Amino acid sequence: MVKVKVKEKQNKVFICTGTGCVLSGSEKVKSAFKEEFKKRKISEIDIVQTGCHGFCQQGPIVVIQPEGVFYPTVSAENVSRIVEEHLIGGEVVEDLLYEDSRTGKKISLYKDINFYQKQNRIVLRNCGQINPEEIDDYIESGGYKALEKVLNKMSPEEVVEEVKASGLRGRGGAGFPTGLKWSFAQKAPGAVKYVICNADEGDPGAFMDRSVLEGDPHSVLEGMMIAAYAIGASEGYIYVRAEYPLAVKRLKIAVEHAKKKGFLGKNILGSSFDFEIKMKEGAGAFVCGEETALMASIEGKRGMPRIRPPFPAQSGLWGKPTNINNVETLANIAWIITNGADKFAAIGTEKSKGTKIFAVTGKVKNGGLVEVPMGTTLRKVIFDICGGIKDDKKFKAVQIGGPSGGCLPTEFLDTPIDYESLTQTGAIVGSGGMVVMDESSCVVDLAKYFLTFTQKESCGKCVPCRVGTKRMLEMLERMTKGESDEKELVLLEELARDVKVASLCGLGQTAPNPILTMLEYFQEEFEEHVKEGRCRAGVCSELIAYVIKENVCRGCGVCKKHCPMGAITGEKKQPHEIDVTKCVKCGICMQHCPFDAIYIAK
Amino acid sequence: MSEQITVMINGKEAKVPEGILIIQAAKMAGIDIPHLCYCECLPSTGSCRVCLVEIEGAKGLVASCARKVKDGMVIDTDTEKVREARRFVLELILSNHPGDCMSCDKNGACELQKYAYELGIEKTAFSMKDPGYEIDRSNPFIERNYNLCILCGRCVGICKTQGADVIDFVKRGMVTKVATPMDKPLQESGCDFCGSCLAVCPVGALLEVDRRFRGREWEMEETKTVCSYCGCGCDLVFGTVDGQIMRATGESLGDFLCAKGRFGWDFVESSKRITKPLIKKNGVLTESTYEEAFEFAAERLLDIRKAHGANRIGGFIGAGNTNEVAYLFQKFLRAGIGTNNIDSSARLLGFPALVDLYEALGDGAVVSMENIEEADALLLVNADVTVAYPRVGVAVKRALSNGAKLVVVDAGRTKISEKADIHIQSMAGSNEFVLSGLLKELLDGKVYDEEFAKKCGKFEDLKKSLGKLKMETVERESGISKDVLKEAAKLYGEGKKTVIIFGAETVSPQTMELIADISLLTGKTKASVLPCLLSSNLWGTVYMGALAEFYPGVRKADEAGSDFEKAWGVKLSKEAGLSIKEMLDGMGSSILGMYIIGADPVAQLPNSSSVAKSFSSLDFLVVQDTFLTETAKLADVVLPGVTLAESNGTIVNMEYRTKEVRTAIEPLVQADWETVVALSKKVNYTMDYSSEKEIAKEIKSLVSIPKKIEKNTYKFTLVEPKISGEEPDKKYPYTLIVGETTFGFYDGVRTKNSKLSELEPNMGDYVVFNSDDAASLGLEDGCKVTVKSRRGKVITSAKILDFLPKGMFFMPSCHNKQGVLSSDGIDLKLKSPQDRLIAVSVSKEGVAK
Repeated sequence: MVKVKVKEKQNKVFICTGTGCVLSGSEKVKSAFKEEFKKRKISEIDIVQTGCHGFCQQGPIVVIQPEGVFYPTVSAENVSRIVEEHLIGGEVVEDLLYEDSRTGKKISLYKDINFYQKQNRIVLRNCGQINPEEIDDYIESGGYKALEKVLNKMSPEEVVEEVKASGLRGRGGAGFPTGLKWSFAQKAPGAVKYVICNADEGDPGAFMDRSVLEGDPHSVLEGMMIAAYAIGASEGYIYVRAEYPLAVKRLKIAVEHAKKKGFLGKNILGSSFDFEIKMKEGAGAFVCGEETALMASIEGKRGMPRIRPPFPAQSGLWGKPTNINNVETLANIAWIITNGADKFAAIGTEKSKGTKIFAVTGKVKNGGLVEVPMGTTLRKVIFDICGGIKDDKKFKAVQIGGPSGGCLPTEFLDTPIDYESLTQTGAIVGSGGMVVMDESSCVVDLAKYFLTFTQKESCGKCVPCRVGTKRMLEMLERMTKGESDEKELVLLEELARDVKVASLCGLGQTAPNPILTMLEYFQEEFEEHVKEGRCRAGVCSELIAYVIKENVCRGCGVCKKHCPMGAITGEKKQPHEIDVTKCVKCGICMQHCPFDAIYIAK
Repeated sequence: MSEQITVMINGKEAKVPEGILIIQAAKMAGIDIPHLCYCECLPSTGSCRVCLVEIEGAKGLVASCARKVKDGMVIDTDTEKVREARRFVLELILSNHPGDCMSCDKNGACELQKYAYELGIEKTAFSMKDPGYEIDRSNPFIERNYNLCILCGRCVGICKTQGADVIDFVKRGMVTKVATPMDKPLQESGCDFCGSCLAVCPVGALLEVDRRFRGREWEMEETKTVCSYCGCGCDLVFGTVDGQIMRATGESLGDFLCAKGRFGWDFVESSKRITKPLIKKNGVLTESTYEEAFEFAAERLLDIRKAHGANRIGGFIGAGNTNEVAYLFQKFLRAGIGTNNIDSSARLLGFPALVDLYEALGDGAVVSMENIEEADALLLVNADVTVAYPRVGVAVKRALSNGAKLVVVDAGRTKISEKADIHIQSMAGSNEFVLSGLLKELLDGKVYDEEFAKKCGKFEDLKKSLGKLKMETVERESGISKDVLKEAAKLYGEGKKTVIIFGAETVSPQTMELIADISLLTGKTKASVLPCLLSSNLWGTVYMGALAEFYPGVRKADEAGSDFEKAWGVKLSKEAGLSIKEMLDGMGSSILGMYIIGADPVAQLPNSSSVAKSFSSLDFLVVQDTFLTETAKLADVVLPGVTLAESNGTIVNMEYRTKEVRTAIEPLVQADWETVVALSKKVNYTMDYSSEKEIAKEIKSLVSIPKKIEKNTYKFTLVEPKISGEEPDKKYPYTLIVGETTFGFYDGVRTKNSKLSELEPNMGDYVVFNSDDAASLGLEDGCKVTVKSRRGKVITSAKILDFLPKGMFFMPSCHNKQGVLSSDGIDLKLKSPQDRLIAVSVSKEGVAK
């Protein structure tokens, strides 16, 4: 292990205040540092609140700069030791350091941690590295240089060409070439045009946009400004979820600061370019992430998609040509302009350039935000960067692309993650959600989970999505209860295909994707549910039973005490029994049994 | 004309106009693509997914209602893939539908049923469910059963384009539903009950309450006729089964009808209709036979003529009768009786001042609804269009959605004024000042057409007169700053296609002159001024010669007399006819006998207690009407009248269009024309007609209702602005404005006998106060109040709503309580009363002042 010599004067304490770390207690950690500094009369060390580091499973995260010593899961109680031993004593606190899950070794530096080492952070370049509420931090790290460059040295056409040349594709899900999109809006006739930032991130489990907005809001604003300059817009909207209060707050601060510094307003940086940004907070409908519904919502109408064409580039917000990009897409722009399209295009695969952020959740050891070059394999992300499956169980599948994506089994682990390769499998890159499942997850149950979400979020406008998703969900519900039959399994697949073909917008057109891929790759498991009434993962509660092993049970009565339904009976020191008619299969008994005497009968 | 392009539909080449939708192109080629949410009168939403088609080269299936055709497009509307998708969508819809077609009124006319049948869906693969919504039967007209709703959104769309915009989708996913704000009942949501939603609903979710279980669509006989309410004269199609009216609709899907048009016909079937002639015996009206009634009436009229001369007899006719009846009535009086004393309710509703306006502007005052819809700037003067002339209201709304600018001059806030760019909320009665101010601003701001104005008569005089007008006076009298007028002048003056719309019954003759001046000054003389007429046949009634000043054809009596003597074969009286006001003044002395058709002067005319007294002093009164009106109650003989739904003939609407009225149901009583002919025969003047057609033929031979007004005088009128109506003073410090309401109509005779009255609070018996006045007068909503004027007092109830400024109150005309209060001071030039602005005092009932 490398010993780091600490230079006292230059020290800075970076405390992550992304939503994940805040929830795990980083505000308390921050107060503890302040308290400790006050007590010890330390004034020369700055406490800097940063955005998300992406390694949310390890929060609250504290990084001591400039060396970049990484302390995970810091509690308020640990703070005095870090101050005492590290900041004053000049020695890293070894037992508080991150331990590599594979090697068991302690690692002190941020950059040496496997999770970060294998990533290529372009979009997340500033996240965790700067104070998102200070525009000067962004400027110091090279911010607004790209805006300066386009305003001084590039024509709008050149900007569009540069973005085209970079090969950047929309990160919101569909992967449409960004430069091409801009050129449509640029060429559309009209004096009034709009730029919209789609920050209505809604996929369950996806939080990359939130992290960027919270950790580096100016990179998004700069992207919007460049887009506005390129297409000839002087007004922009950020449509952001109201459920992201921290992102909203930081965006508001960022817009204020940018105005004060002259990056927004009239004659920006002495040019003839005028640009203003307004915020619109969404009221919590998933479908408002669909661009036409989003625009309707900004206009104050019910957020419902409409048929395209006309596309927003022709007739968008208030009927004017409009360019809509998602947060992650926009956060790439300044980097491309500053570093050049070639450099961006050098990353990734032939048709999918640059990097993509994935939000890895589920049964992995190290979940969080992972930004990797396009074309990285699923295996590398799941097993290398994220450390493999929790408790060393067997990998079963990964649901990629959120509720619109697909579910891929082991044989696809070596599939490179790019738009084309994933589409071939039936999954999509989507917004980049990745839910990893092990053998204790049931695919039918997972299908039900995603469909519950999509059918609830269907806007109700078109029949296939409104009624079709509900009927599919009802079938899945019957399957998880053992009330279905083989005929229904056939009908489910037909229904899923029809909903995909006949729906009006992306929500309905992709809602059947999880089911279709699961039916294709896990047909057997569905059949077990409908034919045998068996759930091999032991998840579908109607298909399993909790049983006490007579020969193992010591009659301690713990299970009986904890059972909320009073379903367990038995004399002291005698084997107990579970009354199946009362049992609701909550599993509490099994969790509490000190002798592992309770098992699930499938 | 757009260019023709070639497309292939189902393997056949078709030439269709560029830019139309695939579904429209297919229709032209004779192919009906199944559709549920698409409706040709509405913007496409593409939501039902039934109209999916295959297009060569397109990704997936395409909604044909939302994609335009392109040259060379190859479209397949009937492949197995398409049929499968349609079947699938319909099965899904059916899986959420109760499927109780047995007792559904839409059975046979339901579009869901039609396509399910066409695609051979015997049973949905998914189990059928009843969503379990409670059926809304809380209002008298529209039954809402959302269990049958397929969420096509047509009702939402049409409510936005021509209704009150009170419904939209609420909630998401499977629980999505169409609802009013907060899901309140329609009658509490601001719904105007235009019923447009009913017309477009493809299934049985929205149904006419009256129609339930009374007949299926295929049993219905349809008769196209004209609405009998306001002067819009909308086309109306009655659907009848076994001689009973089931419903009224527009001619095609998107046609607008208002609540009165669509639902207010039910008075036709009221049990209060007069079905037998009545003769007053010992002070009591007693049923008699027609023969007896005719004998009696003729005898009394002849007695008066014999003893005192024909000019002691007069007649009065409502402006809602057909041209044929109006013509016959005046012929009966002029030729049969021998008097020119004939007048009509047209005098209370804008005539004869309107004749001057038509003569000043020629066809400039002939404006169609399309002209309004295409306008880019509109000026509304005292025209509460959405309430009083709803079809005009829709036209204005459509113009606004096309981007038109709107200036509204109205003392009160209205649904239309809320959409205005400028609302000139001037003091009641100050229109002449506002318009004079506008004229001056147009001139001074150089927003006028000098070249044209110079060609018009008296331009120099106008300039001089406006030069003398002080804007301070305008500001003081109207309460409107000159800056606002300047801005309004600019907005209107800079319009390329403009229309000035005013309520003919609400403005003074001088206001009409000022409107003509504005039109001439700005050179906007093509379809530029629309007088909104309140009665269905105002123009026709005047044109048929039922106004004291004019013979048929709007010909001056002294010039035309000899022509008609020839035509009618009798000597006609040379004495000028008396207006209704003059007849009233003479009742009991110079007027002894009166014949009234389809009008209720005792309720309509101002200062009604004195009117009733005058009518009581007559020797003989015969009234022909559908209901026992206030006037009929005073009559010696009452003859049963028919409604427009039982009549044949023509009317002339406010667009100057002649429209045909047709009998939708078997008349309950003898037709009006037959009654007049029979009575005429008894006074020894035989009018020989076998049908209304023959009357029409005679009219045509004598006068032609011109399709186009060709003459115009193009001369400015110099108007010295005055306050119209009665001015308040210390004793009567407030102004009571009498006007129309959404569910009431004019004299209330029809609406009172319709279920419309259930929607009008207290059947229109109320006065609206704003909250400031209510507070200072100590009134609360619903309390009884005494309203007093110089003529009399009434007790009514208070309603507190903030749409008028302080000191101005509103009373619906349909309850006719204003008659007791209103002033019968007349405009000498026009012999017409100005009875819509009354000076009053108010006190809470039961509280000593």
